[in-house]
Amino acid sequence: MNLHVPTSRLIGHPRPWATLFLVVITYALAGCITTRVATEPDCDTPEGVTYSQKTVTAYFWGFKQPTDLKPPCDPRFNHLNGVTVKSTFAHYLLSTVTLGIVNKQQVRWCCAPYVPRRDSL
Amino acid sequence: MNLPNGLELLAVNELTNKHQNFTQPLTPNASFKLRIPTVPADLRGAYRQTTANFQWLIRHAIDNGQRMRAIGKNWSFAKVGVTNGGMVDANALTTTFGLRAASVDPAYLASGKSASNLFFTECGLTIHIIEQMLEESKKSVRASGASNGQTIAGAVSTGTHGAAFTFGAVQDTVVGIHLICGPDRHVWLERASNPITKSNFTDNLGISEVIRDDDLFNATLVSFGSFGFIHGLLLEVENLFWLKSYSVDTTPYNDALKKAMTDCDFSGIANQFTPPLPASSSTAEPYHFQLMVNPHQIDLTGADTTKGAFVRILVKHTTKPDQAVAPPPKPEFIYGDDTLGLMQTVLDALRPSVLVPFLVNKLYPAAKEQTNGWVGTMMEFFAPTDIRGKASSAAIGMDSRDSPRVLEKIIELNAQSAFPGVLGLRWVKKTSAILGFTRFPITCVLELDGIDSALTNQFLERVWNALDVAGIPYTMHWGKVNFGLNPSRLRQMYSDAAVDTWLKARHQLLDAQTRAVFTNEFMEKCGLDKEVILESPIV
Repeated sequence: MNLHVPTSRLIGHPRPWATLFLVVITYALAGCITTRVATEPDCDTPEGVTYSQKTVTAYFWGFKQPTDLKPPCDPRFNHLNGVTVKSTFAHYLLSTVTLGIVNKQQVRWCCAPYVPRRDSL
Repeated sequence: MNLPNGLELLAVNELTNKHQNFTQPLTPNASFKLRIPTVPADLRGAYRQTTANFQWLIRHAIDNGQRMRAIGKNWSFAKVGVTNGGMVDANALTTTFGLRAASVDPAYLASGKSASNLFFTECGLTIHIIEQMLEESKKSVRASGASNGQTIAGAVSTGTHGAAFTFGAVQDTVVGIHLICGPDRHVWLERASNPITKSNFTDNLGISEVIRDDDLFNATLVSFGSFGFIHGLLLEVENLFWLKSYSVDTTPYNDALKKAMTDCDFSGIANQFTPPLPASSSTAEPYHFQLMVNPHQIDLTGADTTKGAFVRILVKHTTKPDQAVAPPPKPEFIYGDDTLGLMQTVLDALRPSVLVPFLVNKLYPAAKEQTNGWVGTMMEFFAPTDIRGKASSAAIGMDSRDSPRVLEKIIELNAQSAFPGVLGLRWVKKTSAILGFTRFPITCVLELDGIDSALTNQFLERVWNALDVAGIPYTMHWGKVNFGLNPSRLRQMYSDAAVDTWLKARHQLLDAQTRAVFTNEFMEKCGLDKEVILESPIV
């Protein structure tokens, strides 16, 4: 398989290292799978902050599972509006290298905001 | 650290924005989360405690020589609202209050409006939830962005504009501001020209200092967190209305379209819609005007009718139109979180000249909102964004009368070097915010949306420089990609008088110690950290 020919024609400037880099990156990033379960879009945190996510690990082909996550949502409402589970290429690689003994996933949650009933002044 | 009720310390050392354009380092152990306090249990007492918590945070920052900024949903593409000190997550502050007639200034009621036109919200509530709450009582916000997932304070503070060309941007819905502007000071701001509340309203919120001043109010509106913490906002709302969508997939770029662009006069293009655009009446008025342009597929002569602009007009109805068709559900598949990041890698590594138009032509159909014939409320049309992963969006504001020649200039630049994105144009009425970027009588907001890449940034820089050379006045959206801002450009955009009025207002409201807390690196880059000499002492 000659990947250089069509790519070089497209870009007009043959750069073998860049093509190789592109192929590696393509496979690396395309390996990510993100699944969201969302009921409402509203969260009580900013988007993308690390304090609303955790990487969990399962061992021995799932025989040893991580304990259940308990997101620190406001106890006055204590509901989630969304959960995202992401597996990256690095996670797949780790699982492959360890023959499935170590399996990681990133879990992100979105606590539903506690919205008190409207009062009047 | 012994924290007051309603405050939590956050273990966070950096912050990456939603669109992954930047990662902001933070000072360890300097960031906090605010929640509605559990003590006192009543909402008014909890609100007053939160005010005290905001002041505790300012005192803490002063004592530790740290900078601090509140953060909403973290959507901004620019570092306008962050600092290398601490961040204060205010997203859980969601208390709301309606107003009784006894709390409203008689002049406001005499103008034909009622207390039900007013809605007070804490800073952390999203526009989406506000819309839900308002719709339950048959009310509606007057403007939102193209999406409604932002916190109200974040959207206002960065000038989020929507496309209401007869009304204005989100900040133009605000008629009162509760500003925490020092460790021992917090104020209620209204315009002197538009008094809204009476003392029993502010007394209930624990506010003793009320300032009615147009300049202070209009300066605070769009100040991206640099005037202190905005604890609460009083919004003017209106009776629930419906929008009906009229769109055309490709409208030739001709005199009729240019007339719509310069004057918001749609008479020349009305018959291109199916069904035709209705004539304006007391119950149906054009509200929203938007174009989408693929710079790689536009014929500026207008001869090729297949290479025109996508046009969408939303007509505002005060009663729900007959045979209303609600917006359909979203498709089952969407591009992946890493798709745009992958494209960035390709573009930055290879700089392909042919690939850019190919990619844009493939993505362009997805950018067009195919809503012809739909009827919905603000919440239904401007729903939460589904943009995922690394994206870039810049926006320039200009006088609508300049919009055709700016568009033509950008198409010309694109022919020289391809822009990896598409163009969106929307029209917004002039804002009263001193540094609101929708500052022209009718501002055309031209958005350059695409892939976050070096190629995109180089193109943006060429656009800004070309407008400078052509002498076309323009502004930049505070919350979007705007790395081209510098002190001289800023003063050229807004005038020395406007910038000085804004600086003076900041000095009047914040003492030197507090100003230091709320100064960030973005302001220093733009010259908005400058000291001014006040002609009169601080009130």
